[in-house]
Amino acid sequence: MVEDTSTNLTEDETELYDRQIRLWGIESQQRLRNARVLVIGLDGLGAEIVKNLVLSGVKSVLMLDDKESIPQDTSSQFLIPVDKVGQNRAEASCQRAQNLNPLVSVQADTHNVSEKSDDFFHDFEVVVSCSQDLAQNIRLDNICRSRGIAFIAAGVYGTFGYIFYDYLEHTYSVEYSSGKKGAEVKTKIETTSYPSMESVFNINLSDPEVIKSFIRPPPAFFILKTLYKFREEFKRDPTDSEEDFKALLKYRDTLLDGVDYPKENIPDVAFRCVAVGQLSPCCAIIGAVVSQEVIKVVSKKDEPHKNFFFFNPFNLSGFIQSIVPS
Amino acid sequence: MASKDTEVIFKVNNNMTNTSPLIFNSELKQVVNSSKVLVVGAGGIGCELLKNLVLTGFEDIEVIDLDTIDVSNLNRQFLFQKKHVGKSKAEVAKQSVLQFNPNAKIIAHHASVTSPDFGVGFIQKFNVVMNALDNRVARNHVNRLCLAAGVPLIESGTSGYSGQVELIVKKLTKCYECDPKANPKTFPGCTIRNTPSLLIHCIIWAKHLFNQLFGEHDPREEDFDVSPDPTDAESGGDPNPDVRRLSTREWAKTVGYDPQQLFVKLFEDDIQYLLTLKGLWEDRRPPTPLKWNEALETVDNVLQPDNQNMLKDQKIWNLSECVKMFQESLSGLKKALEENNNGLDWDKDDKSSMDFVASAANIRAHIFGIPVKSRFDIKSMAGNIIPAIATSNAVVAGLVVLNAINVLRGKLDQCESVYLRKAPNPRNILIVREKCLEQPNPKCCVCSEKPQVTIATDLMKMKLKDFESLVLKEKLNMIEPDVQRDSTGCVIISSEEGETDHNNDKTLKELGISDGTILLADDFVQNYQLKIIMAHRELGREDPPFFMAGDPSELKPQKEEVKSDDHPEKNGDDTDEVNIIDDDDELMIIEEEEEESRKRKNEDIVPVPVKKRRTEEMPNNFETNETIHI
Ligand SMILES: [Zn+2]
Repeated sequence: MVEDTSTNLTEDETELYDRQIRLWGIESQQRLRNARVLVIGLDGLGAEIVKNLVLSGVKSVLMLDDKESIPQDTSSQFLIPVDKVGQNRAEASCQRAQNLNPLVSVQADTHNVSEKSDDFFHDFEVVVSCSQDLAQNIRLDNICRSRGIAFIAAGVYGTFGYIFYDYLEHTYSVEYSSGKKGAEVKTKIETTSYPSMESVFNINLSDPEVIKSFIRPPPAFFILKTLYKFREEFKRDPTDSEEDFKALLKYRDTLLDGVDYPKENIPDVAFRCVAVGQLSPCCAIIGAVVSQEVIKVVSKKDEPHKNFFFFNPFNLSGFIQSIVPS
Repeated sequence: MASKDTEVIFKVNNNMTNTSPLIFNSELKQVVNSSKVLVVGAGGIGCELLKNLVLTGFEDIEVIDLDTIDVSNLNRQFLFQKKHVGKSKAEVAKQSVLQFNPNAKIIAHHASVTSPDFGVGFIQKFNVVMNALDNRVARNHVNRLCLAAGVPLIESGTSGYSGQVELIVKKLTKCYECDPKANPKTFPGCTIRNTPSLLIHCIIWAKHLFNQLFGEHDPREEDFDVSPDPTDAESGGDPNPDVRRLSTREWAKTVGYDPQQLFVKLFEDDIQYLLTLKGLWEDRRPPTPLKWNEALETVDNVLQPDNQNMLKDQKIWNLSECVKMFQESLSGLKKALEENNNGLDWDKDDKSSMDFVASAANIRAHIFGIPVKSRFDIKSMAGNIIPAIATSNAVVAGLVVLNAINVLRGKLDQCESVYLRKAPNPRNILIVREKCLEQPNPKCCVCSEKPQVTIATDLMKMKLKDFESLVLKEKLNMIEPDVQRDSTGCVIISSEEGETDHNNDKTLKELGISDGTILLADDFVQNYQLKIIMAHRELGREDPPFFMAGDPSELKPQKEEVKSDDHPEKNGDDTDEVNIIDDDDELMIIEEEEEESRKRKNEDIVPVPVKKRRTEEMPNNFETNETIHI
């Protein structure tokens, strides 16, 4: 992916990035500075991710979104000035995103992601897709896999959040020591591989053999599948209306039909939590986890997450999960 | 396997009938909208907090921060831009978040939270207080204010990739001071002035030298003495030498801060003098005095770090480069001093100040045969820098606001502490929530029913003014204490200016305090009353000026143990490694080895910096700073 380079950082960069260079080192900072990132979907989550990546000092961030901003965006999308509500979300976010760090190239693209040819994605090291539907995410993932681009899909629904990662094959260095005080710290190289999004979401959960052989999926995975289903049917995200709530329960029940999985693990109230739009603090949390993983994958340092991260709406904690077809 | 645990997480919560998930519906929005909240600190976490708060619908917010904006803040304190450097953080943060929601009413205070303006009455105006601070003194202070005011406090901090959030409510949870925090590492003055053995000793010496030469005149200036100390018990010298010295500052002025003359005094004459204190060198490698001309030309081979993409600052200077840097930085500082009559504050981000300390420390290290380091590394050590990144701050600030919402909806029991980890725990959890609130420590010297501590010191030697500054202010973090004797009500220290000044130079013994005397200390700003039981103890050469414990039985002499934990030489090179507490950014945490935390539990007696035998507050390893159990 990112080519190593020995280009030295300028004095300005050293001064600006001092506190993080002291954490992740100069090589990581140099790799970051060569990384071009595409962020699709400039909702509250997208804004958080753009903010963190621009601050970190990547080479460029391209914001891709064809939607106009609506008044509800102002409760989480802080890059859009209040007087630009109604304008294209990517374009309206440009100025504030650029103000965060003049050393990073920040641009907006107002096209719909489905109009973009496969070649368009070739110019990026990382593609982050926010709040897209499952079909679009699978398409993007397949394009990225075929070109060795790291792909991340994420979404925030009320207090629920998910992140899906596909780095295909990822090689990284990791420091280790015996744990004793004063023990020498050594570096080793590890490689890990990821399944495609398509294969993960095609796992046949109703096949008893599959569900037995396959590590049991967490409730969060079913919540995500339910939300994707809603999106597929309604072409929008759920609101807190009773109709939407009932529709979500219906999709959950259909999903679990014939699946050996206890329904009480996914209680009804879960679908009250997810249907209240994007909550700013949750966007901040999920957006930061996504951004730190982008930084990690670009700098090729430290063990990346397994293929899912979920933010638990019940106790507001975050966990990593491996959901892999057998 | 891992998934099972995850199921457990969900189930546990479903089965708890009193647990109701946070659903941000319109009623809750209304509650949020009408609440009044205080944010203390507008740094890394503070900026993120303010953003989340206004976006979530909080409209009545006050923010306090004393700091101004620096370039090195801009990689994470995203409400600030380059054009804001030098301006008030509180004020600029307010202006920036107002653009997110122009209807918000935000009051910015460019002030210290320890100012009496922000007393208990001020705190009582708020429904919840959120700390986004970078130092323990301010954290302790707000902790006490919130306990006294009965207002829930949400405390938070990050360090590198890690972070934590905890709720503090009187009687319901631990307070910030329930677990004694390990003290910053300190070094005896004689180590700094006479017998440095680690680079950190030289760095502290160089910072003291900076204060001596350029600092604002400080009544405690003698504490920063950098010259050889002939009264050192090990020196074998005359314990009462004639005091021949002019202050270093006065002398430097008379020679116009001439680099060569300063060099000769500091690195040749003073070292020659140290060599005459023969007792010091019986078991130590004696220092080698340097000659100006020779040093200027000594291009010794320095072992550079093995790193092709090194920063300029990461290159280690040879002796000649150190001397040239010393020379160059002096002329920069001399100029700065001419423009600023009050003297200079040492600032790690000021080029000349940092160059001066790095070069002087390395030259001194050279003299004592101590391995030198790069300016980059010395900056970390001298500036106590804790690395800080945007993402950890964002996670932590998000969690703070979620907890704040739970506080406002009356679900205090759902505000367990949360930890952000660098890597997931064995159960694959990255953002870990405790299972329950932590109970208060019944012996806490702040939040317990009748707080008390025992102070053991040499009552015949400790003066009242030292008792006030070292024990009451530095150690116990009081701001304006009043102290009286329990039995007689006789006032010993008064917060009224000048009222008890005549006692300042008396020893505690002379004031009638003896072993077992009980004092009552009261800080009216913090609304904090503390019973202090005084104990007499003779102190050895390496002992701190006093010992403190919550429980008097803990104060039975166990000097050896205490010493070995604090005495730097015994820690060997470890002391010199990356230890950092910050003074500048968000502080704290990091999980520690179980062994470490067990050790700490038995270590309630914390030695404290010496005054006469001057020691310096030093960053400790963060492992020994704060404990987290996950
Ligand atoms: Zn307490």
